Amino acid sequence: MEGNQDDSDLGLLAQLRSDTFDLATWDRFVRRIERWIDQNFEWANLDSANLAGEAALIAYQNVGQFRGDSRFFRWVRTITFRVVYRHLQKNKPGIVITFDDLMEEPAGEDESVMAWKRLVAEEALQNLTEQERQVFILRKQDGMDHREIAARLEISENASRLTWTRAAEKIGRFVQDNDP
Amino acid sequence: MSRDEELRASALLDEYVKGAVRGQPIAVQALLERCPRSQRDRLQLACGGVDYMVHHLYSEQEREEVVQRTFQQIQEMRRKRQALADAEARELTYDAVPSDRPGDYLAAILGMASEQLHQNPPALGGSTVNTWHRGGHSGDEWRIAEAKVQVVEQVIADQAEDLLMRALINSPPVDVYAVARHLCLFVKETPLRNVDGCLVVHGDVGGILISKHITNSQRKRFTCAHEIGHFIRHRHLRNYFTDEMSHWGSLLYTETEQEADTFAAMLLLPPTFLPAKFGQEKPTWEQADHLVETFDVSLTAAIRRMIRASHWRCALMVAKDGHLEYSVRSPELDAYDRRGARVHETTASAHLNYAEAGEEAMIELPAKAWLEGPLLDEEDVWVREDSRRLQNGYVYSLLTVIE
Repeated sequence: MEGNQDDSDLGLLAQLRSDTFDLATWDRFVRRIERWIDQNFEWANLDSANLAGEAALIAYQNVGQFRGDSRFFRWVRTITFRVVYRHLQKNKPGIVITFDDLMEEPAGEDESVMAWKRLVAEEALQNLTEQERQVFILRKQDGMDHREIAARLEISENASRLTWTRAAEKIGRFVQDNDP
Repeated sequence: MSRDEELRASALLDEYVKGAVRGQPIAVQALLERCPRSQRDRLQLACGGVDYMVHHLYSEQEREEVVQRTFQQIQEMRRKRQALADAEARELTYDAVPSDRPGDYLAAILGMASEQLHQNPPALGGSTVNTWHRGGHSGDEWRIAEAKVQVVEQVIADQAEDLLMRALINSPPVDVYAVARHLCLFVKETPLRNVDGCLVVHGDVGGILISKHITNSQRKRFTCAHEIGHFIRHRHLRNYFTDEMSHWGSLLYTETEQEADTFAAMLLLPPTFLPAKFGQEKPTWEQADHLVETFDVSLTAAIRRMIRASHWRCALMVAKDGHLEYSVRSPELDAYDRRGARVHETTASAHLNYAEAGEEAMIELPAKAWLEGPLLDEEDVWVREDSRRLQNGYVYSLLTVIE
């Protein structure tokens, strides 16, 4: 059955089994899982890097259990699904997801496109005024509410609200013009 | 455009982000319909901007840290596996160790000196376990102790489920020996005297001994799960544990023992493998028998799990030779047992004391025949008692308050 595996899957599987992989291989493996999480659970706003790391570790630790009756990365995806499911159960109870609804493989965005998008995102942030950037980061990254932002930046709550929308709008426009 | 309209659009953008954070995404179109016309284009761009940043503005440094950290964990796993392989390669028989202490045998296999074993003497009393009998605690202390037990049960259930996920165990019956192996614990059966199970931890690896004298495979599984519970929850306290399951309900039954038992119950009967409505139906023998069959656990383990998860006011009363030995009650049951006392002659349990193994009896009777405490302050409280006599001479009684 293992003849059905992709060459890349076979190579990775062999390395995991023989315990002979290096950091670069491990990095690619974790990224591949992370991409799958991002593409299937983008709505859930997850810490996909950490979840991917956990799923990769479980796959490594249990690789002896892989019998080769499905493609290797499909097996890894079932593990990743359980990791994400468990995370959602603990942190966002009440959400129902099924494995069947999920994408087989990450859509084929390659590393260079991903890197370009990351650059666009960073530039979009640089394109904001200092206050817009501060409000946007405090609201989106740190999850602060407008009262907390207002107190931190010594502005009014309404000013925080208007700056937040303006910043997001500017980013949206920048992305529209520059996304690869 | 008015400031009010801008603020309205801002509130809708907040709603969009909150939905995403909660994992309940809101369709942009639905928000646009509630947005002032003058602000719709802006809101659409803003939602797109936030989405883009969520997906593409992550910290490369954070990702590299994850990769580094997990790669390091792999090196640790390799070391642990090697240590386990080294231990397993030491082919020692139990007789080869001069002392009769099971810990010395495990220590020899693990390559550690006997002096390194730290076994605390069992503590007498003072445990939250011994709270359900007369004189144990006052009403409020009892409720606080019960709340504490429930918190611990929840934490332990989470630990057990995480462990099963990591060991890729997805359906019952749970292979406890695979779980032990996953944790780099070897398991051996040896003819232990007066001990059911034993655990010695050396660094991150360890060994479990299970008594060959246990003939019941379900009890062996429970013993192994119990020792895993000590490994997960108590290895920071000491490195040597010996256990005798008959301590259950006695003064030798300490808080750590209760935790290890709870862990075993949660590992063998984890919440995610149980039916969705588990605990919502009144406990019955049929349900208990089904759990025994599906999860390959002892009747005692199945009933204890069933009672502790029950939303009903119910209990398991365990009697031998006409005396109550111990009991397990549901979180809802506000009453005490009469441990050690003679079982009341009107109960089905008393009747079955002289019956054949496997015989069952049901009766409805006043709760005071079995229980004491706040429950009896209610007027005219009755319980349904479903009792069964087991092969080993014990009589198990399921009590449910008639609501």
